This record gives sequence, structure tokens and C-alpha cells, in this order.
Amino acid sequence: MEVLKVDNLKKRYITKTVIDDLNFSLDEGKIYGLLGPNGSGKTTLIKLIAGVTQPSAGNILVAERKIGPATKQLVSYLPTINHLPKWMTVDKCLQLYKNFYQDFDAQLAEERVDMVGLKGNQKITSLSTGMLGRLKIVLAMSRKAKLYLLDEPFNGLDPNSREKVLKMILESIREDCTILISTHIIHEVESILDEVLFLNNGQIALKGNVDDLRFQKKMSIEEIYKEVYENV
Amino acid sequence: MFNFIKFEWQRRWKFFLSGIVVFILTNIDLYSRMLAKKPPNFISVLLISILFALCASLVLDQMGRVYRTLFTDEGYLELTLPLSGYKLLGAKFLAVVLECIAVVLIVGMVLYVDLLFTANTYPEIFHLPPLSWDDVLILVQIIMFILCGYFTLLLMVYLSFVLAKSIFASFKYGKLITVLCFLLIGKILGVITDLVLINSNFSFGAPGVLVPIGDWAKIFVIIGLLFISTAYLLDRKVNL
Repeated sequence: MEVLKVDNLKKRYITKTVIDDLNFSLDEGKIYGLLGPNGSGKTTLIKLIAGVTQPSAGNILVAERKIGPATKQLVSYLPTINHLPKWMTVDKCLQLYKNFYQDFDAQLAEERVDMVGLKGNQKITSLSTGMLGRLKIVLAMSRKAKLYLLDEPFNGLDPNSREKVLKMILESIREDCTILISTHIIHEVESILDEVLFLNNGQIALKGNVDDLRFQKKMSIEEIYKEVYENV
Repeated sequence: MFNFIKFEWQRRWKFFLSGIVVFILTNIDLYSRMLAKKPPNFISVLLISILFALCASLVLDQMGRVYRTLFTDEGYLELTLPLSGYKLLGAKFLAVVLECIAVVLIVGMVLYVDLLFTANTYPEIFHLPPLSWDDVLILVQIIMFILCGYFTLLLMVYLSFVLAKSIFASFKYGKLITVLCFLLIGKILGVITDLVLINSNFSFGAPGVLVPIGDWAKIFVIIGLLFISTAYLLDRKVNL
């Protein structure tokens, strides 16, 4: 079943087209890697699916619904920036998610907060970049969402934290959910990806099953990435 | 929606509490000095300054609630909550309305206690004037008129922010565009007010009626239109 369907999607600014006539769909139960160099349109695409930016043309359907409050209940979005209010504590963030998202598992989130070495009474302003990254992933992955949009989830994380985050992503995988991970750190996620989408200038440069691509090209995904973007 | 109001107030309850405490302290200080016929001292000036700063912060904070959603990273949280633009703006606006009503009630209660106290302490020089039902109605209308003016101003500011981040989002200098939008909306509303709200002469002659019902309806229609257009843009057109 298709969790996400993108049809003729365009996003234009005055002088630049960021997403150019994009068509693809994501199936249930798979982990997708959204790969591409800086400025290729990855973050814009994720923002469009999350509903924080509007397309210039085209359609996006999440579980056959147009982007709106209903799809926001199905999509768990992890942005690159710190979107958590600075006055909050870790506990308050969990409370906020619990109040707004019906699928948020507060007990699981509390366990994960402990697991990643955070405390409930810590203020957001007192957290380091790594700690904040871990909290954001705990919040996003403690939802039983249909679609997870993870924009650069490993940004600013040390190797140990990356390992914990990766473990959390793997633990959150269910048959009825789909994960879309946008990242530059390909070797960290290569082992968990089922499919990859290579984005270039707002268009899909290459798309396919990870195992098939590796078999056809006799290369790792990281090597394929270098090949696809060697002139970029 | 009510969860969002709770969330808005969780971040501000200390600010509100400090405002109430400073207001009561200022009132006690000024009132006791007035009774003792002493001039205000440094403490009085300091309390008045703090109170003034708190009032200014509250107004700026209320104006900035939509700014925070659209121009700071917190917008990525607020705009991905499962709320429509109407509910999001409705929650923010309702929170502001309730705050203003609370401020009016607290100020009114404290001033009323002052008057009662004066009337009881100095019955020979001060009597509470008997309030008729018509006087109360006039007083309520004056307060409502001021509040409606403030709400209209707030919605004009909100609409300007939303326009800068929706229709004009592709342009650089979003904050400058906000100012231009505000001036333009102000001009348009001025024209509409001149055309529609012609009856701006308060009718003090009629008992209990300061602003005719027809004018109230026009004021509420303007507030409603500002709210609906802002919420529509927030719901459908915003580009972070």
C-alpha cells in the first residue's frame, strides 16, 4: 500500500525552481533514504510533505489524504533545526507531544529519554546539540506514526549518539509504517535502508532498491552517491 | 485548541503572576501615599516603571505570537501539530482575548476595592456614587470598544505577518514587507471604516447605549473578516 504519493510536484521561488515536476511514491513497511548534495531539494521536499511549506503546483497525498491536520496526525516530522520551545523542559516536551498526538507513547518516550542519558527536568536551553538531537529523535520516534520524516537525524551527533539513534529507528520500525531519512552520512544508514532516492536539482536522479542497485553497479550506496554526484 | 491555549499559558504564568504582584504593590504604594499626602518616592517610580515595562512587554508579546510561529524555528513545531490554521489562530487569539479580559477584571477589582476603602475610611469626604444599570452598560461598552480596537490592531499585525510569509514569502526582506502590509491593511481598514462605520459620534443621550448595535455588528464583522483571512492564509498558504 502507498503511504505517500507525490504527483507533478513543483516548488518555485522567484528566481529558482527547487522541486521540479517530481513524481514518486513510498510503500508501507520500508525505510527510504533521501540522498543528495546540499541544495538538491531534500529539505524542501520533506517540508512540503510535513505541510510547513506549500507546493507551487502538483499534489501530495499521505495515506490518500491531502496535506492538512489529518495527515499531520499520521506524519512524524523531525526537522534539522531546533523546533522545541526554549522555555520548555524535557518533561514538558513529552507532555506537549502526549497532548497533541494520539499515537504518542509517553511511557516508551520516558524510557527512551533515560536510555539516551537525558533527565526530565533538563531545560531545552541547557541541552547541547547532541542532547537536543537525541531528544528530537526520541519525540519523533515515540509516535506510532504512519510516515516518519527524518531530516538529517544524525546532524551534530557523536558516534555513540548516532548508534543510539540508529537503534531507536530500528526499534520503531513496524510493518505498517514508512520511514524517509534524509542524510549526508550514508555509511551510517546504508545497512538499514530498503530503497534510495537520489535527488538532484529538485528531480530524481536515481531511485531503486538498495540491494538491486548494489548488485547492478557492484558498488556500495556511498560509492553510487559519489558516482551520481561527481559533477555536482 | 484548548491544549494549545494551555501550552501558551504554561510559558507565561510567571510573567502574569509577576505583573499582578507589581500592579497590586504599585496600587498599595500610591494609594497609601495619597492617603498620607506624601509625594511618590524612588520606590514608587521604580514600581511604576516596572509596571509600564510589563504592560509594554505584554502588548509586544501578544503582537509577536504569530511572529514566533512564522519567523522562528518554533513554527516547525506549531505548524506540524494536527491543528488547522483556524484552530491555531483561534487558540492564539482566544488566549489573548482571555488575557485582556483578565487584565480588565483585575484592574477593575483593585480600583473598586480602593474606592470602597476610601468611602469606608473617609465617609465625610467621599461617597461611592450610586451606579445605575445604564451606567454599568456604558462602562462595559467603553471597555469593549477599547478592547475591540486593540483586537483589530492585533489581527492587523497578525495578517501582516502571515501575508509576509505566504503571498510574499518568495521575496526577501520579509520583515520589511510585514511593515508595508500593515500600513496597507491600515489604509484599507481606514477607508472601510469611513465608508461603513460613519456613525462614530457616541450617542450619550440614549440611556445605556454608547455605541449602537448596528455599529457593534460592523466592528465584529471587521474583526471576523481579519480573523478568517489570516487563518485561511495560515492554513493554506504559509511557507516556512
